[in-house]
Amino acid sequence: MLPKKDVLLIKHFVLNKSDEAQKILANLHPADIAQILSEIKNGNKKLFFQMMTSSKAAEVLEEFEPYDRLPIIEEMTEAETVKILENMSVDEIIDLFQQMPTAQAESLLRKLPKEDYDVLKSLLKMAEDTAGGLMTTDYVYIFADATVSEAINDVRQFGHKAETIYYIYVVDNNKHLKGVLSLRELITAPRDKRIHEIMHTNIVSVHVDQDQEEVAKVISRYSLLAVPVVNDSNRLLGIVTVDDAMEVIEEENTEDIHRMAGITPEEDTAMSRTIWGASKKRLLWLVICLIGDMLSGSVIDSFSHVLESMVTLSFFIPVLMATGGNVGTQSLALAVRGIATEKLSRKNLFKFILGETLAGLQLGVICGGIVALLAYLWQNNPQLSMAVGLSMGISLILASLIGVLVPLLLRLLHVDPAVASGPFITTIVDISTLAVYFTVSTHLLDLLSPDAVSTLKEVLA
Amino acid sequence: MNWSEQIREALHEKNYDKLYSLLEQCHPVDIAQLMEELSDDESINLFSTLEFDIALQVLEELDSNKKHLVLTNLEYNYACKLVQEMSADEMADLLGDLEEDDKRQILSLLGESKDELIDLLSYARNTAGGRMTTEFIAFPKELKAKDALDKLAELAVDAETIYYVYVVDSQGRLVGVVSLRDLILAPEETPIGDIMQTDVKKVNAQQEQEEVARLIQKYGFLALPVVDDNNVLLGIVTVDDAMTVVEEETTEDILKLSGSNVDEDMDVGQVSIWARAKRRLPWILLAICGEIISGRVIDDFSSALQTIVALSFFIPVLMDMGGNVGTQSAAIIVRGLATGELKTLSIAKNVLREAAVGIILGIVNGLLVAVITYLWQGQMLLGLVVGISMTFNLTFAAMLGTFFPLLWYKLGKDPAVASGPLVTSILDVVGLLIYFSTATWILKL
Repeated sequence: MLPKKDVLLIKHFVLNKSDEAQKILANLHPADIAQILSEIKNGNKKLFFQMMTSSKAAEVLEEFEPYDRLPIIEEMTEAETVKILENMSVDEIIDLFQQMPTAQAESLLRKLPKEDYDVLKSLLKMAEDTAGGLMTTDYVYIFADATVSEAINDVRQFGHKAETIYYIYVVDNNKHLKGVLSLRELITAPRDKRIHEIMHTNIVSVHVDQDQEEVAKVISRYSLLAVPVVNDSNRLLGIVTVDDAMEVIEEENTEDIHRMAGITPEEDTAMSRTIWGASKKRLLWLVICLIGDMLSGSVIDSFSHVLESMVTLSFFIPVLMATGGNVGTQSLALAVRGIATEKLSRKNLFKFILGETLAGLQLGVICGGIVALLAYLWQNNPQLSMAVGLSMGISLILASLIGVLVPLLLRLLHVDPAVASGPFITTIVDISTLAVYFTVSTHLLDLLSPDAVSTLKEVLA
Repeated sequence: MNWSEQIREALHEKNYDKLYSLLEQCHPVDIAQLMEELSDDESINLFSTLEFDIALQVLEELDSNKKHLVLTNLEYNYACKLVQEMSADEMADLLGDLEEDDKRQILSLLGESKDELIDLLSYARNTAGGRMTTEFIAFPKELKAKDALDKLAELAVDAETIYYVYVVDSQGRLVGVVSLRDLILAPEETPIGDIMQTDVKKVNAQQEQEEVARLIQKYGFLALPVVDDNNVLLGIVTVDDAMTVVEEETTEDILKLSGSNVDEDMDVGQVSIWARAKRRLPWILLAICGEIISGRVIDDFSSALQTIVALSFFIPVLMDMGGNVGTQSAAIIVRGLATGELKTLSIAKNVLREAAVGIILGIVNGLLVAVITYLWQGQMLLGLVVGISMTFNLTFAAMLGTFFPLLWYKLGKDPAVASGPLVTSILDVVGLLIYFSTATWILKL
């Protein structure tokens, strides 16, 4: 992060179009320039871009989220934009075009050099969240019969535009992927060796249609700097680099955390940032839970005779409901995260479920004991405190089971386990907790009125 | 039959030719994963058939217990050789995970190269120092590009990454960085001082690992240098470590948000139940105390409840919805703070914005619940009570859910801690107060 003083100074220089500005901007990291720019009023942003070389301007523009690039581009003339686009890597241009109205993208596309036009045109057809949508076509490739010194020369010659030169891909005449070599291996190899003698043929690659989350996982799992993207016939189409994988992982993590809290993930657009947009993505689960909670209410309703004869019972509804919800959410968090990080596998699944059940039992015993004691001290009614404690114990075991089993079940049905949000689990747990509470207390407190007996029978049936 | 079954079979039949040819096609990461699933004997057998270079890579991928098992069951000299080739950060992680006795066993394999390790072990595990490796490449700035490349080729075998070359002065202080890319593309005779970047992004060894990961991600680096207070280069953290950190921190945030304390290494497979329960108990117990207060609120209004027992039917929906909205707000703030995407850190601005969201959520859900109440109970006024309470409740929930994590953050604490259960407990008390006050006022109880 830049010190505040520097930021102010740089802003001052640029906005006054001082000569110093060009020199300063040339030495700044693109990410830092982007940060300064985010504080600049629309309309003045173009001043910054006019003071940078096109390649620097391209790097800076790449730092912005795709939807934030649009307003900046709108400040510039089309000629200026095209110059910057020529210096951007193809995967970034694709991200940008996908945010634009088709007509605008098309008109910009036509102004780009012919070879870029063809590549971009075919890339634009790929789905955004697949390997194809994420990849770039700027990589270094060589042929298997080249010598090491020829290969190094190739890297020198074509390396300027490539997204990474640290992996070099070996292909045949039809661009079928034959091997891969790291730059490290290349420069440490004897100069007169042939590439096919030193290349790896055991290649980790991804299919062009593979989901972006899986692509990121492959990169992270094998600690790669980039992974090659191939089609059905193993033709090399592009590469996905580790920085893109990091972004995908961050996005997916945000989605997971939001889903856990019952927020529907949405593509980040200008719309989703307004207050109404922010509310909209939270409404779906709230409404579902609201209706679920009505079921909790009707459980109370069916025991209302019990409640009428002993209103004290209602004092413990909050503590039972909330604790059940808390325990359920905790178990849910463990399960969802275990699945997401692949730490939970078929092998330790049973152990995990058993462990959670036992943990629920233990929490149930401890919390049940404590709440029974509190209830006794407060109401001085041994039967009541027993009912509350026992209900707490049973409902916590159920809560931890629900928290674990629901996401696992969804996983089994190939639904994203994070769909089971905390609020959703809490709602289910509440229904079970209230049913347990009133059933236990009617038995223990011997409060059954004739009416309640028939209602209870209905409920049980 | 897939390859893992074939390998198992080959192991079982002691068919080593088949085993060799099978293993040849496997990535070390996959072999390591298979070993995690095998029994102790099987995995030791499998490991001892691996070639040294592969064995080393497989070893790095194993978890600490398996590493210990393998190292202590191999032939002593071979184990020594493996251990000495392991990178120092890897070793420090392993030692950090092991019990005292096991640690001593491994240290005995290490022989003399202990000193460096002891330095590394002195950093807390979740800091830049604890995450870094000391196998980096640093040159003086007078070195010519061509000579640097030659030297690099020699050093490449041991270095964690050769894609960044760090430039240091005679005291070992970091003055610049050159990427291998720039080095290879530069004219051969240029001193690296001329092509290096002097605006080097770096972190102090004491800095938290989260910050390191964020910098690597922000600037798209493959590695980030770690320095001490005098700017002396100590080590580097690489991008693959940063990815691990990102995953770990997300897990931590999710668990903390749900009110579990988190220790260093979460192993979902572990069955030490007491350990599991202990992590979760503190916040639950605190919440229980909070909810007893909610009970007291109901107690205060028990005469109202006795008059209209139907009031109790809506306790669950009001309590739950408040908790839900509060959790949503807390999740948004916690995640926003973690990714640095939060527009402003001002508590007032965020709380106000969330209040606006809360009002919208409150009105929509308030209307909905009022209609349902009316349809269910046939009482217009009761519907009104529930609807109004819902609206106030959710607005307040959104504000409180925003306020707490930000307050924690400003106080220098982890914003994710306790935002869930704590916020929910407070909301329940307040929510019930609002509900019963509205009820006594409107229904004139």
